[in-house]
Amino acid sequence: MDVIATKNNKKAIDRNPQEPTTTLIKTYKRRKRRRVQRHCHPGASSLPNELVYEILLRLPVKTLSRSKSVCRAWRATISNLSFITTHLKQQQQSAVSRHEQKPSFLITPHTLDSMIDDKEPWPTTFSNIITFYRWQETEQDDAHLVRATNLHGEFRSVYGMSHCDGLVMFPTNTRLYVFNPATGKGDVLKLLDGQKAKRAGSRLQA
Amino acid sequence: MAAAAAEATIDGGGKMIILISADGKRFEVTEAVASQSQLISNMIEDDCTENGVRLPNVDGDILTMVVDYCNMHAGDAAADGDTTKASSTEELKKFDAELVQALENPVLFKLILAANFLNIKSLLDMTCQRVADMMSGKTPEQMRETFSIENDFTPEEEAAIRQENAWAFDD
Repeated sequence: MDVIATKNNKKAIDRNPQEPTTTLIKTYKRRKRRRVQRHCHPGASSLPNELVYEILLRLPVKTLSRSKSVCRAWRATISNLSFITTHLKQQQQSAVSRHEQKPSFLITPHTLDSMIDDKEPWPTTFSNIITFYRWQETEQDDAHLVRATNLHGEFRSVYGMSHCDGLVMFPTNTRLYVFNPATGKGDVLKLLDGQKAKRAGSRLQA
Repeated sequence: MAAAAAEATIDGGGKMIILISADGKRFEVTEAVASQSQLISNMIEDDCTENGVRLPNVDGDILTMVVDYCNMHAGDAAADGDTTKASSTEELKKFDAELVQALENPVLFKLILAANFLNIKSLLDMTCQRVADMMSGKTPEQMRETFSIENDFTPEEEAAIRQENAWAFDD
């Protein structure tokens, strides 16, 4: 941007030595405004932004993620933190108001790959395949698999898990993971040594 | 909330006011029915509905739907003692579902605009929810069509965003 500005500035000086800077600023502003207008009023049958916002708030997470590819304005809106917070609240409210919506449980079973050694204070052979199952009262007795991730021997022990707003925190002896079972995204929050991860885990749980 | 609304509408419930659509169609409704629109409710409070309420943003066919909706839902806000007029919850649910099911663009967007202009929150909620429901399962290209949006991503950018959200594309 700086380089371009200097170049343009030089040209402007050549053309109009009296007031080069103002000319430059004016041109830039006008160009910017025109671009914004084109995207805000794309057609007669479209809705104003505030109503599009209301609709986006009501989309399920999957459709919403797909909507990010629609245009720049939508991607910016959907990625905005205040939108994300409002969307979460809206989804929780509509889940409560829809009476047919029964509460559901997220189940993550811990399995051990081999027997526990009696001398171990805490097992160190936890399976590295993390699975999330969802069980809902309306469905028969079956819980269905939401997501499974294989972490290929990245850790040996799992400590107390905790969750908040649909995110699941997963402290292990090597790393602290944060999973989002709804989107399937898993992030390593921080590399911590085992003791720290364990402590962070129990703190969050408390 | 419901109790307060009921008190406010009971005494003025019998009075009629006239709504006039953009194309000059006239609708006579009780104040109780009309005041489900926050806009009209404010006008009634300010005593400026004597000569009819002109709604230059709303076409007659859209206003017909809005008035039908308000007539049906007048029981919602009114006292529960008046069982003859108030529709049962079952009936209302059925009415709403049928109204919303039949809606397609561009009528649906027009109804959203009207609900927003007249400030009828329940109707706005319902119509926005309908659009949201219709969007699930649609591709970004179909969404652009629905909202008349121009794709302003470069093909590379679009591919990158798609990659980032790949899980949302497998059905």
